[in-house]
Amino acid sequence: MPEPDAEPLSADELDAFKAQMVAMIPALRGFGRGLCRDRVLADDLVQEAMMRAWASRHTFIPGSNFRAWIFMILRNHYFSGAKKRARYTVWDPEAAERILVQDATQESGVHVEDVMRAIHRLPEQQREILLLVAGAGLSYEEAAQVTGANMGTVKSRLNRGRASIRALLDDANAPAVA
Amino acid sequence: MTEDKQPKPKEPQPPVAFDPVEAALRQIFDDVAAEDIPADFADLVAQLTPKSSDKKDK
Repeated sequence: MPEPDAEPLSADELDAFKAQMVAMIPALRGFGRGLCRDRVLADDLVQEAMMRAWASRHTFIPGSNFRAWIFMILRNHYFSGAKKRARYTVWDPEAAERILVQDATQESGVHVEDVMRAIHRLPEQQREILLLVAGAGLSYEEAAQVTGANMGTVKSRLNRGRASIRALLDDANAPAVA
Repeated sequence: MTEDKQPKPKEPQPPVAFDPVEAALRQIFDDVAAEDIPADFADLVAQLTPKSSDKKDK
């Protein structure tokens, strides 16, 4: 892996960097799974993103938003190449079946699997914003930083994504007309 | 005319409606977070060591 020429990090800075990266693994896996729809391949994507982040560690400004930075690396890696691999577009119903459904979600009649299926029918720009904001809990500002969009665009895509999912779920639940 | 320095009473916030779509998305991430992290992640992290020239003493 190429190492950029830059001011070397101190041992403490390296430890801190690595600790921040490890802390982000669960959220990155969630985001990766939302993008890839396959848990194994999503983990591959996350590991590739971690290696890229490590190789680019000199470009991270200590004290800036590490979460947005590493989500951006994963997101850009996915959209720049990984996405093109056909294997990333396989829906894994067995994996989705294993996802537990929260009580409150169950009561509302919405199932995680249905939402996942619906979210993958959305335009990618809406899907990634929903995953980042509603799923990973990023702020609008962080989501804007990750995707390179402005805040107004983030909010707009989020609202349109929510509305589209509801419409898709409503259509799926509508009784068939004879 | 003197400026009113009294803090304005907070306006009541509208109740936040439960959004099942957001709850489902959140659940996906929560479930992933509750899983054990595969061992190959630990292997990867262990391999992330800087070049010898990368370390500097403070």
